[in-house]
Amino acid sequence: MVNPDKAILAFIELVSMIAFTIISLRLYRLYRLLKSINILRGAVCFSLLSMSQALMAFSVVSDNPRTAMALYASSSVLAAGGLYSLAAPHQGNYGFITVGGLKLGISVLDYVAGMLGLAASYNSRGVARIFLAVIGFSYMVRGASLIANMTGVMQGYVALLVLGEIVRATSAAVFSLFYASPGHGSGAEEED
Amino acid sequence: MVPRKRTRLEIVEAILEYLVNSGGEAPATRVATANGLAYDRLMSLVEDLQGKGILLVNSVEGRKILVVTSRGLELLSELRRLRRVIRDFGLDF
Repeated sequence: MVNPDKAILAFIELVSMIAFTIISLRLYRLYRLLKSINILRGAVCFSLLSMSQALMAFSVVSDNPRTAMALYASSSVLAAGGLYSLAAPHQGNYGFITVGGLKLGISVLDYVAGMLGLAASYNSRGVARIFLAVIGFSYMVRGASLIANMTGVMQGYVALLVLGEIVRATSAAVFSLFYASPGHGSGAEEED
Repeated sequence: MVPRKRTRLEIVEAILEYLVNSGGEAPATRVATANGLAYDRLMSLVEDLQGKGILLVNSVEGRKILVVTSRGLELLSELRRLRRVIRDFGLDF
């Protein structure tokens, strides 16, 4: 039996799914008439947003936690793909469907690494907390530079990427050397 | 306030609307004047739309007459429905 509040949430998700589907079908019809890639971008965007809403609705009502989690994650990926097709620069080709997905996948992993780095930092103490926070933050910067590159919202994305990489590589090197050095690694007893 | 520049799709909608209101066809010069377009710009757009089967161009006594096709009527109906989506999401063609 589905909880009433879950049912309401799922219903709201389904309403937007239907609305997004109607918009995407109209845009596909317009694309058929005009053969314009820009119109196709809109159609792809609304199709993916519609699918994302559908998965979210099923995720809400699913009783199996694993299924709910898988649907939830897939919903986010579809929404990101849909929004990317709108945010990608207007290059007049189908690149937004192909190369974009790959870059998006990489940047998502950067954000995951960044969030996990920050979470690990929160649970750590002393110097490790600072190192992990810096590494986590640098992954976020790397992800941000990839998004900036894909969407064209920022000119200096290469500088941002290089800066993020320098910070990440340097802090990783210092971090590993610090804990591998005598007195900090597993080879020496730590004094309380 | 400076008026907002019309998108190509907005211009196409205005042209199709004018043609429909004129009984489905009108001379190119009149379409250009009524819609505030330079004749050359109109004809380059018309050439594109002709290729997509939206409009036909008939020559009558040296004058170019623009005729809207059934595909053009279908396009106009879709553009009317999607006007806001197209404008707000920047989906020009």
